[in-house]
Amino acid sequence: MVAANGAPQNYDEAVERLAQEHMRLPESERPQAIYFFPDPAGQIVRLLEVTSLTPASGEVMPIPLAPSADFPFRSRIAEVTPDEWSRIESGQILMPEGWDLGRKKRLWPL
Amino acid sequence: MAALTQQAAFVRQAASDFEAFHSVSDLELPSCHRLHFLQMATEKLAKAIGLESTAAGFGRTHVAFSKTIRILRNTPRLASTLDMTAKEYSHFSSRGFGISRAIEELHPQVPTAGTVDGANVEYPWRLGGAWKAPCDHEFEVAEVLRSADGQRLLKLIGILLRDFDRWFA
Repeated sequence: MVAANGAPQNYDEAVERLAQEHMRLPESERPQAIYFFPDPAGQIVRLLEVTSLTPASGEVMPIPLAPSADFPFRSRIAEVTPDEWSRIESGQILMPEGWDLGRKKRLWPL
Repeated sequence: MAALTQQAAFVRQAASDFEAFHSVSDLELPSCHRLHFLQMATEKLAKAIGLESTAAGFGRTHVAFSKTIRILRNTPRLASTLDMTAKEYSHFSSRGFGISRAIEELHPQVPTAGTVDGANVEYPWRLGGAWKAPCDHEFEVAEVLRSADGQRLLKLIGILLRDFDRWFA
């Protein structure tokens, strides 16, 4: 179900909406991969994008965005380079608290 | 004044740095001075954003501002705030990212990409066999900030600082 203003009505819809927005970018700007890190409380939508276009920082920097009328969920979006993603998977870079690597779901590529 | 949280204090100082940037811009001073205030304002804004996610904030805040601008390209509601269509905002945000990187590279510890090696707004650097002072250097980003995209980026920074709690939570 979608609200009159198009806002997602539940957590799963919110995850799908946000991921779609990020996959809708021009091909040259599209991330190589998008991962979703579930919030057990179903409150915060957490996405991590792997892209060579972002500056390397050696850490995961989620940008926290507040809910709004058209997206009534808090979100955390992080970008890492492909090399940083490899280091995350090998445990050299730690994920922020609550971002459980064991529960991640790849949303892109499908 | 009421006690501030660490995050609120960073936002407040960033806003004060940003105000200083505007005030110094009205003076006949070398561009390094106003750019220094702008670089500090954006770094503290990014630090405040990082404090929302982690108690320690981001460690490498020298690139956190441009990462923020990149990620905000997917926030269509900012378009109307900036009086732009979604398409205009999309085009602007790509260019705004480049300008935000140039602002970060004004910091002496951030390697420059494609600009003069070592050029920064704080400390003299060695150029060939001689030294150069920031106050004698023409920073390209100073001119870029006068462009339409530069002005939009400054407007965006002002909005994010003024309405921080509306955008970040």
